[in-house]
Amino acid sequence: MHPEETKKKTLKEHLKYRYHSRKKKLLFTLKGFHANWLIFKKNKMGLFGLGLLICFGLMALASFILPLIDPMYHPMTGVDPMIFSSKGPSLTHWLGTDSLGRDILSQLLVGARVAFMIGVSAAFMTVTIGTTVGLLAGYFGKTVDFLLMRFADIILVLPDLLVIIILAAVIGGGKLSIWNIVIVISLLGWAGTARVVRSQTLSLKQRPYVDAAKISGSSEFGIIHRHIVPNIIPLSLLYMTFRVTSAILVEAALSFLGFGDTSTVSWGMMLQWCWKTGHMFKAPYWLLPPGISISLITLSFYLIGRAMEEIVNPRLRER
Amino acid sequence: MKKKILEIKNLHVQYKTSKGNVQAIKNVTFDIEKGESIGLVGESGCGKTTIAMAILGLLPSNGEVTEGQIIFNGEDLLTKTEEEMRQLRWLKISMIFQAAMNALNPVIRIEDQILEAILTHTPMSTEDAKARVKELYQMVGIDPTRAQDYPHEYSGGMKQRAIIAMALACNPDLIIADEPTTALDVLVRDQIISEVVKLQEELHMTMIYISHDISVIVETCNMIGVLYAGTLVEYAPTAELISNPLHPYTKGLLASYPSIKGEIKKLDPIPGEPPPLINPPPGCRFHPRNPGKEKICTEKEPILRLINDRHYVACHLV
Amino acid sequence: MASLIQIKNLTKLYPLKKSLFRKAKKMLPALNDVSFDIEKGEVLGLVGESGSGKSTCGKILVRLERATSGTITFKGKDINDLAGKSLKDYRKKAQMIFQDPYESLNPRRTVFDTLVEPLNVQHMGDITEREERIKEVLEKVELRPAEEFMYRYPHELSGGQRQRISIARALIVEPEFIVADEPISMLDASVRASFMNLMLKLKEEFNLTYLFITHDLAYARYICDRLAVIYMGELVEIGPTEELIQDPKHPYTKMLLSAVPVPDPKIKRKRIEREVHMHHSGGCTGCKFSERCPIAVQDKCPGIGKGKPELVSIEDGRFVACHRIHD
Repeated sequence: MHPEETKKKTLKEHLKYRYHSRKKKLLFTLKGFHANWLIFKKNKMGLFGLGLLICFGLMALASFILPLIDPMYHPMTGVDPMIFSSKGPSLTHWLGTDSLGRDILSQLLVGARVAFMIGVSAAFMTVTIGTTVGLLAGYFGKTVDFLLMRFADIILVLPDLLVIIILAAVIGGGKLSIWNIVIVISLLGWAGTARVVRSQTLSLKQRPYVDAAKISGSSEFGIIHRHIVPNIIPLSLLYMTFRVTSAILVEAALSFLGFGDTSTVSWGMMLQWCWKTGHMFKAPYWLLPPGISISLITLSFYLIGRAMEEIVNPRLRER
Repeated sequence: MKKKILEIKNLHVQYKTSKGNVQAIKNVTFDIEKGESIGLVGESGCGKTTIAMAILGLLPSNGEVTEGQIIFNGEDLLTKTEEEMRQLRWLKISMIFQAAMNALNPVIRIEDQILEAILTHTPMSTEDAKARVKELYQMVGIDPTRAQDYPHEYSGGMKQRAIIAMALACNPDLIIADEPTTALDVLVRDQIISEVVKLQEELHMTMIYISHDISVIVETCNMIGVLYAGTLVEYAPTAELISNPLHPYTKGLLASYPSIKGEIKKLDPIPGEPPPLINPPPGCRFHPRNPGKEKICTEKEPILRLINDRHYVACHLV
Repeated sequence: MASLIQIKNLTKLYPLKKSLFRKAKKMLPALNDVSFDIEKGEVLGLVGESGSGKSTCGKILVRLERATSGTITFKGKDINDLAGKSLKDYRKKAQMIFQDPYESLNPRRTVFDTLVEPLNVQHMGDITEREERIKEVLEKVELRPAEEFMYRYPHELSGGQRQRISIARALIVEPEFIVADEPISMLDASVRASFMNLMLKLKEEFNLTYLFITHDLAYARYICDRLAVIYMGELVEIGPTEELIQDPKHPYTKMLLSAVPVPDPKIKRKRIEREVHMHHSGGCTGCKFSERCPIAVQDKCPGIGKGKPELVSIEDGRFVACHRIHD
């Protein structure tokens, strides 16, 4: 065959192989999702958690719509011209208003959005750091393992909230912006994930198929990329759900204590305002919604995480 | 005539799975007389463990006996309640599970575990039970002073012997051993086999020995039942089965084991694989792998027939 | 003619207590001064119990581990100190198949992925050629039609089929030497037989050399030309299979052979009791087997001050390591 033709054939064959293998992989992944969904479905708690999560998701989406209906519904700036103090639920304000006349419901909805943002981004960053550290420590062992894990131990032992508050005081001059909060939460929360990923890596390292890859001549990176990482990802995703919980709680605590980002409406912030303006025991319509929301969203992620644990760890499944 | 300890008649066991009903055991019939040891041999998935579970009433929640009787000492076990079965287990029928050595509780001393088995099922006093443990240890060949140790202090072979001791503890009428030597090394396996043979001779135990390794079964059992895809295809005294195998599967199975003794013959394995039990082939379940099959094999299921002195075969071609 | 592989004084030590800052004081000798050759085209069986060091030996030969001391040469060239490109080249020549069919394949990769990896890593052929080669090797291991198996996942295959994929993975780089570490012990009886026949067929077709590691003497007898018996990291006997089995010289070999169950009710075998006859006080520098040896003699065998028994040639091609061999 002509060299040119061979080259073309090679490219075509290559693309065909790529297409076919990716299609099969996609089908496998989808079949996997479907099988996993069937397992997930059996867990009633998990379904409950998922239901709650969907509600909060809808709330977050609704937060975009509400100010469009009427600018007075804007959570930060929307002030009802008729109201000058905190009032209970009414027809125009379903959950009432805060002491500045802002609608509590719209604050709650935006709080849902913020909770998702913080929760998911912090969780994602935490798990990325934790997985990388755990993987390197587990795979390379010896000195690398020792140093990384001792570092992780130190991080694990630090009291998250206290450290963030100190950082807020020292760096932020008493306050931290929302993204700084997310970064700091991630920098303090990766250690638990790292340990779990490390033990999973250690166990995977022993598998004969890893030995077989070494005997074929694969590089260390090749082995990590082809054999270790794909088997670690489900575990990382699982841990993400737990880290979301943690991130939301830390942010809520920070905001409540007054170290949060005052330009962002979060549920913790709502609690702070309620407390600071002395309405804690006077306005249950103001106090209860954010408090309950924090609890429920945390619960929902936790339940989903537990249900996912059954998927990731087949031994936990009921027959 | 010797007393029949166990009679299994037309046993059918089915598992319900998400993919459909799996006919795990179909129409299995055999008897065991007192003092005999029956070997059940077959490939993995042929149903040997299922039969053991059915006898003990330990089938998983999705398994059920759809037809047949399991008559033990004259009573049908399938008519018994869970409570009645619980009283029977260990006392009358005991079992040595596969990889049973892993079933020992690692934080409880071995003696205490055996004592628990004895005291729960018999009205013995603790003193008598302890004496029994010493007796059992001597029987299975472990130093009685080691009864107080924890499982991790025992070697694999010792753990397996402790499990055998536990199975013998209440002097049951029937012992079912499911692959007791599979996870063991060759020298240790040999020791366990010789212990079993010795105990068999001394105590006249009635035993069902399940394995995929025919060499072990030939050495320990006096009757052999060959299972294929959930059906009993041949059942005969050991010497008779080895010298005169009638079913094509049995012949194929025997031809696929090499031996230390004798001349080196070329191994002639049975082509293909056992059928999926969700959708077994029509007629005889073995016919797809049988080059000598005839038309009737694909249509009608063969029934177990008596050929000569205690030699039964289920085959149209015999 | 020089042997394909020559092993001289192979010793492998594992540190018992690991510490980051101090060198481990106590070392476990997994292999102690082992020497033997593997001839081209033969099947050498390495027989021993678990913990005897046979798997370690196999791993060292494919450079999954490195020997602590000793020389190992492949076609005259030392392989223990290979690195970089020369190590990668060696990997094309020496391959391994593993015991556990369920753990030797990555469950998330298709048969194609598993088989193409060695080709990719070794840069063998272009895409078309690689695909052809995979189809070819699947046919060779009797997984036909190849197209039907290429895109399956391991859980869609039976144990026997998975082991065939393992062989295919080893064969695909066109090796000369394959270490088979207990390849049949986790397979069903009838599947074992066809697998062994496949191994023999492939050996003839591709002119391979095998190191067949096993504890099952009956199967070793079927496939191996020569047997090497190993006890606690030391080689005790080596010789042609049939001679060794019919007329074993070393007491440990005799003990192993007497422990193999025979599927013939007419033959009643004589077991050799495996009990502790002699306790070693202090370290044993002599024969490690003397503790359980039925013919051990107090003043000769445990040898405080004496070395371990050396492999001596007693007949053409037969070597035994026993202090009492000349008695």
